Amino acid sequence: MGYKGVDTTELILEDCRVPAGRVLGERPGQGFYQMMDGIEVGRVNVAARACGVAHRAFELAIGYAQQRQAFGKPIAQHQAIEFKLAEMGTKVVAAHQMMVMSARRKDEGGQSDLEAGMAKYLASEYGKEVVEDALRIHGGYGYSQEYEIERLYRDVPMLLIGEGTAEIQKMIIGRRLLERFAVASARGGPLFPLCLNFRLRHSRRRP
Amino acid sequence: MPRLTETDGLTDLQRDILGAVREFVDAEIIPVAGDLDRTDTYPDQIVAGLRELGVFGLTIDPEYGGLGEPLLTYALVAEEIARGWMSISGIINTHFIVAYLISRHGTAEQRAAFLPEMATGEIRAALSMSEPGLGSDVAAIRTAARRDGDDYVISGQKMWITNGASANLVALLARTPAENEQDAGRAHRNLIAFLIEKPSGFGQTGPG
Repeated sequence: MGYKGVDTTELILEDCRVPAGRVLGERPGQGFYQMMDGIEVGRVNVAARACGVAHRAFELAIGYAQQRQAFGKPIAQHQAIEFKLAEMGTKVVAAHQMMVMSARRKDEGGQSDLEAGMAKYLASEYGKEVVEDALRIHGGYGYSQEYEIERLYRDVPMLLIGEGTAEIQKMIIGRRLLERFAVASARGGPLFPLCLNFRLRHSRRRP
Repeated sequence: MPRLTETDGLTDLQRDILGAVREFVDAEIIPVAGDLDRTDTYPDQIVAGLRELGVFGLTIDPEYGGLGEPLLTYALVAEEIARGWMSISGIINTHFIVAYLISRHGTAEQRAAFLPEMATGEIRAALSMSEPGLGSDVAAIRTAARRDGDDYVISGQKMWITNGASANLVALLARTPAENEQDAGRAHRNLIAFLIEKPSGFGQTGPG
C-alpha cells in the first residue's frame, strides 16, 4: 500500500550459526526486556514520524485551500474548510508537544512507557485524521497520484501499526494508569467512605 | 513556508542540526519522493546524503565517532525527515533503535565492534521480532536458538523486517530453552537477543 522504497522483508534462518559473543550484552535471558527498552525509544520515533507526516499534510492543505476557488472565492474562506484547517493545526501542535515531552522523559532516564505509549497513540491517530482531512480538502485531486497527499494517505496507516499497534499502546497506557490510580479494593475500600463523606457534605449545604 | 510547531529549550547545536536536515529534506527528498514511491525504488542517493550529514551517528557516543545527541534531537530529526517522505524515516529508525540497544545493553566488545561503523552508516541495522504468526504477542516467539559449544544455532522464520535486505546487521529475538525449572513457565524470561551480521542484499547467505 505505502511505505514504498524501503525494503520490508522476511528472513528465514536454517541452522544459522552465531557465536555466543553476539548475544546482546551476553545476557541470554534478558532479550525480551532489552528489546522492549529499544521499542520504547522506537515508539517516540514513530510518534515523531507521524508528526512529520501530519505537518506536511497540513502544509499541503493550507496551501491548496488558498489557491483553489469555489463559489467565487478561495475555499479557505469558506468556514467549512477554515474549521478543518483549524482542527488540523491544533492536532499537529498537540501531537508535536506530546512527542517532545515523551522524548525528554526518556532522555531523563526512568520509566517512560506511559508517555511513549500516549505520544505514539495520539500522534499516529491525529496523523491519520490530519492526512484524511488534507485529502478531502484537495477534492478529486487528492485522490490522484499527481498530488503528494495521495502518497501521505497510503503512508500514514503504517504508523498506526508499527512499533506496537494503537491497541497495544492503549493496553500499556491503561495498565500504567490503573497502577498509578490504584484503589485498595473495589468493595469497602477507601472509595466507599469517600462517597459517603461527599454525600454528607452535600446534604449539609441544603437548607 | 513557516513552521507550525516550535520546540522550546533547544541548544544551538540542535537548532543547527535541524536547520541542516530541513534544508536537505526540502532540496533532496520532497522533489524526488513521488517518483521513488511510484517506482518503489530504494533511495540510494538520499541515504548517501544522510550519511554525509551524520544522521546515522546522531545519538552514538562521541567515543565511537557519533555526535552523542539525546533522543529528543533524534526524534526531531525523524519528524523533519518524515515530513519529506515517511519511508526515509524508516531507514534510520531501525538503525537508531539497534544503536541504542548496543549502546545501552551491549558489552564493551560489542560497542567497539559495531558502533564506529554504525556512526558512519557503513553498518546499517535492522530489527527483527515479528514472525508470520505473531506480532503484538512478542513473548510467543517460536524462532529457536540452541546452544552448541561456543555458538548458538538458530532456526525459524521472521517477518516484516524494515531494511531487512539493505541492512548488514540484524538485531533478532529468538527463544532459548529455559536454564532452570523456575524459568520454564515464564515466556518472557527465555528470550535471547542476537546481533547477526550478514551481507546486505536479498537471497541466501551464510552469516558473517
